[in-house]
Amino acid sequence: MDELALVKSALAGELDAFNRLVLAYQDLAFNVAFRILGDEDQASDATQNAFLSAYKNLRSFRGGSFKAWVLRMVTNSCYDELRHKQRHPAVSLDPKSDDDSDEMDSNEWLASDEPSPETTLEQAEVEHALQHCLEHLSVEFRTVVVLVDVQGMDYEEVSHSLGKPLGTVKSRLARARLHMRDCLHQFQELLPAEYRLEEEVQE
Amino acid sequence: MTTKLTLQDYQRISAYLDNALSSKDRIEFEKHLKIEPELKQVLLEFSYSRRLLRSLPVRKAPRNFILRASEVHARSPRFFLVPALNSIAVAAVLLLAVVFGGSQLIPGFLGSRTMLQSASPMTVSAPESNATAESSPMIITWGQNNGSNSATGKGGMGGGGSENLGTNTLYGGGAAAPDTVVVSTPEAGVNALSTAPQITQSPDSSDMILGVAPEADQGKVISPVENMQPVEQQTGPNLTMIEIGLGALAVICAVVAFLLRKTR
Repeated sequence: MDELALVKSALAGELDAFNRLVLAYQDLAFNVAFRILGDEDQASDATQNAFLSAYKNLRSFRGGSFKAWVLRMVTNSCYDELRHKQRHPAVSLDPKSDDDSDEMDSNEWLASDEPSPETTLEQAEVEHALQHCLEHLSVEFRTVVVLVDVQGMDYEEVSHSLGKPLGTVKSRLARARLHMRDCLHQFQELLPAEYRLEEEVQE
Repeated sequence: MTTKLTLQDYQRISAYLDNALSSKDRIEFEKHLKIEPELKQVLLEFSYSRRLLRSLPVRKAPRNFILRASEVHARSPRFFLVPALNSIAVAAVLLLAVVFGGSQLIPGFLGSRTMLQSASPMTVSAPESNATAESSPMIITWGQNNGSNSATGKGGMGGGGSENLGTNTLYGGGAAAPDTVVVSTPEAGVNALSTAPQITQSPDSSDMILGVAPEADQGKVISPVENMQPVEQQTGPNLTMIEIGLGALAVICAVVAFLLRKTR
C-alpha cells in the first residue's frame, strides 16, 4: 500500500483513498486508545474522532511516518476524551469498591470484555492487572508505555507521535516503567508462573 | 556493592532494554551491569514489565471507522458560532478604538468631551431681581427690626469699616459679594457633563455679613440655588457609556467563544 499516494488522493478529495488508510490503521488506533482510556466505548469515540480530525488536517501531514502522524491524532483525541470525562464524570450504577482485593473477586474482574476460545482466565487476570496499573499512571506516562511497551514502537516514532523530544520520551518511559514495576508487585501471586519475575530469563 | 540508583541510571537501563543505547554506551553499561547487582535487578524487573505488556491481547476494532461524506462535511452550529463571536469581539474592540481615539483627537466628535473642553466658561447668572444687591454683600437677617439701625459689621474682608462702628452705617466692612458668579471650567480633562443646574461656587459663610436688611427684604429667604441657570447644556450621546458598552460586548463575545471552544 502506497501511503503517500493515498494521502495525495485524499487531499484531492477522494474519501475512499483516505478510508483505505483508515482500514489499515483502525485496529492499531483502537488498541492504543483502549489502553490509554481503559474503556471500549470511549476508545471507539476517540478513534472515530481521531480519523475525522486526521482527514480534516491532512494538509498538515508533511510526509514521514503516516502511522506516527495518525497516532498523534489518536493520542490527542484520547486526551480530549479524558478531559471530557473529568468534566462530566459518569457514575456507575454498580457498586464499586476501592479495595483491590474486592475488585479482584468481582464479576467485572473475572469477565473478559470480549471472550474468545483463546482467552483463558489467567490471561484475563494478567490483562486486568496490567490495565489496572496502566490506569494508575499519569496520562503522559501511560501513553509512552502503551506506544513503546504495548505497541512496540521505537523511540523515534513515539517522539514524532507525541511531538516531544527524544529525551522526554526516554525519561517518561523510565519513570513509567518504575511505576509499573511497583504496581505489578502487588499482583505477583495472581500472575501465572511464566509471568513471574523469578522465572524471568534475561533476554 | 550497594548503590542508590538515579533517574539517569533508570533511563540507561530502560534504553539498554530497548536497544536504544549507542554501542559505546552499551559497552560501558554492560561493564557496570556486571559489578552492580542493583542495575541487573532493575533490568530484570523492567524486562518483566515489558514482557507482560507485550503479552496483552490485540483487540480488534469493534467496528469500521471509515468516514462517510456526510460526516466529513457536517458542520455543527458551533462551527459557525465561534468565528462569529470572535468577529463581533474584534469589531467591538476596533469600534471602541475608533470612538476613543476620535473623542480624544477630533473636536466635536459625536458631541464629545473635547467640545466641552473648548467651550467658553460656564456662566451662572443671578436673576434681575437680585441686581440691587450688586453693590452690597449677602445679608442674613433674623428677627424683627428693633428700631436701631446700627449694627456691627462682621466678617468680610476684615477691617475697613472701623470708623463707622456705632454709627448709622449698615455695614461694617468687607468686600461686596457679587451676585453674578463667573466660573471658568478648569483645564482640559475636567468633565462637566451634568445637565442639571449647578452651583459651581457655594457661598462661603465667612463672607456672609450679618446685619439688618432693608424693610422690604426683611423676612425673605434668599436662596441663590433656585435662581441659578446653566447657560449651556451638553447634548449628544454619552461617550463613556458607548465605550463601556463596546468594551463589555467585546469581553462577553470573547469569553463565550472561548468557552464554546473549550466545551464540547
